[in-house]
Amino acid sequence: MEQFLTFLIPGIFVGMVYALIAMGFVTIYRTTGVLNLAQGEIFLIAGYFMLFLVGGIGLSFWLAIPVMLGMLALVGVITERIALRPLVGQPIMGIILMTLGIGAFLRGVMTLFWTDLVRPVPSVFPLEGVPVLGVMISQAYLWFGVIALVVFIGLWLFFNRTRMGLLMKAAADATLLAQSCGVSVNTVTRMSWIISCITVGLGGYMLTTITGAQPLMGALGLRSLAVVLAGGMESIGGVMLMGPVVGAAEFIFAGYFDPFVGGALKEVIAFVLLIFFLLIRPQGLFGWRIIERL
Amino acid sequence: MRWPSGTYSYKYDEDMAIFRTKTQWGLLIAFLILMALVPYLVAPDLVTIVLIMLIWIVATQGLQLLLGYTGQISVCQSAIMGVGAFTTGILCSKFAIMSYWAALPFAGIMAGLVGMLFGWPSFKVKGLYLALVTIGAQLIIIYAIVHMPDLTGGVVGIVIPAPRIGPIDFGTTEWYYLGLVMAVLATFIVKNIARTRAGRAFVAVRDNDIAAEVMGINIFAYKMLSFFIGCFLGGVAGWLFVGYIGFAQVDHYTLDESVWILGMVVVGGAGSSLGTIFGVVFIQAIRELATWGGPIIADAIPSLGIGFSMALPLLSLGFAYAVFLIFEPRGLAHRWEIIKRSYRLWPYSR
Repeated sequence: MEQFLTFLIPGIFVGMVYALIAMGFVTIYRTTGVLNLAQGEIFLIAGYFMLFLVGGIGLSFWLAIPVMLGMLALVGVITERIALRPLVGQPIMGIILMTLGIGAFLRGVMTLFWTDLVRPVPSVFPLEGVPVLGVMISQAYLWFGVIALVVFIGLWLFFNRTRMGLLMKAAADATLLAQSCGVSVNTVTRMSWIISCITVGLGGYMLTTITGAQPLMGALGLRSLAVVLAGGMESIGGVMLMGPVVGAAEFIFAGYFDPFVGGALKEVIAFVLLIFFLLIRPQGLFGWRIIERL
Repeated sequence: MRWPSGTYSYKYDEDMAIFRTKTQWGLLIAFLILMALVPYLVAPDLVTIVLIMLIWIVATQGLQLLLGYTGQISVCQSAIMGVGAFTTGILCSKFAIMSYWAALPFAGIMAGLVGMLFGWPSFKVKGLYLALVTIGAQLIIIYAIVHMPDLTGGVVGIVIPAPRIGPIDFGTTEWYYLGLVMAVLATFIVKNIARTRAGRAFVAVRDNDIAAEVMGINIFAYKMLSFFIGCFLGGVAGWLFVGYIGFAQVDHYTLDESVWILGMVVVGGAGSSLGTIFGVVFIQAIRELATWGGPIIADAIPSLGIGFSMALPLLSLGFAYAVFLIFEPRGLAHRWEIIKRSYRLWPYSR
């Protein structure tokens, strides 16, 4: 039981960060129907931005974090404007391939500035252990949970209570109808990319403080895809619920089975779960079942 | 397909022929002879580059069938190559139960089966969901290879003894001819599968899977068939690659490589086996140029930093994706058709 808790509790907190990243996927998917496979790179680039701002030019953390989020928003705007807006109306396959291309390009950018070595990312979170249910975990994990919850509540309020959020929902539900009612779909799409990049980046920064950053680590950001699929592609609440579940499952499986398979099971558990979810319930727990017609 | 004016079909065979006119046959034979003479005409370094292109053509034709004809995105083609490569390594080096040549069908079939395993979810999901499954597949396959050191040698990999046929030692020239034969065969197979009942079913699944199902096409069976053939070719490419470089090692089969292979299909044009060749040549040329020119530029302009030479290939790949998806989503194959047509219609073409 003791051992089970030592796997479960950090798993839940890391899972909340996965949920945070998954929210970034969901935001873009809901408003534009695009699944952004470059998310893994955006996730990493946040860690590198902090490395640059804190380690490179020596800003204090409280200044560096808002600047980093601003830079991520800029990355989102530029990507959307240059790479994705010309593809509006093209088949979805082309758009998915484009996000893969964007990912390769961002990987190139990261290699260009920071080479391909693993770099430690400066951490703002205190690392001393605190007991939770009798298990000592790093305080950083607690902060992850708190930040993820705050962002979740913020996004929920944004989508349900603000004008922009409602416009985004409208544009997602019926693009043509929304457009004819005077909603600027371009603005909405840009907004969703900004929000998504900021959310993903925040999650990316938090996880890279633990793992360090390396241009090929994008798969770490893609792990949250399992969360997206489990929760449902359209549901922010769903991913917030399933994030901790997937995170905990990852830690528990890795904890118990690592000795038998030679370690690093964490790298693939999320993807095994992903395929499993797809086979059982492709629309996720809270996703919409879309009935296709000819 | 448009033929030059004055070409009429009197028989069914004529209507079905890929090469209709004497000019086309002449050009084809001339092209093949030219390809066969490459080792005697160009520098040895260039022969290696062309050989690598030929190997990629085999792998990319497989992905072309899967993505271009059947419309199933697969981001795991390089891991599938890895399966072929490691199967070869295990059979002919680790356990040494057969020669390198006898391992060919096993490498292909093993890769095909693994591909079918990960294509299995396609009976329930499609499009972007399948892209996710194949990303997962890429990572899971590589994980499995690394974590079965007893079988695969883990991170270190397996050394393959240099294959030979009787007295013939395999140098670059011999590998080049083997690669050429394989690339021609792969292109021939994919081009012809596309014209059979199965090929038409693939295209129907791609264009509208619901309509295809309503018309009585067993879409799951055809998707599985497509996965099998596509990954079979991937495995054969892995077999070829591993024989040429002499060792199977997991670093050659990363997610990054899969994105490169996808880029070849994108640039060449989805849905054209000729496009695959254009795409492979284009992307490989960019890659070789960037790998060769990167250090030179970095030396000339030191302020770019040491990451530049590593970053240049990736930057140019991302750039190629963007340019082709935005300006020529149908790829180089389409551009080639336009050029051909305007040549035939000259002087009436623009």
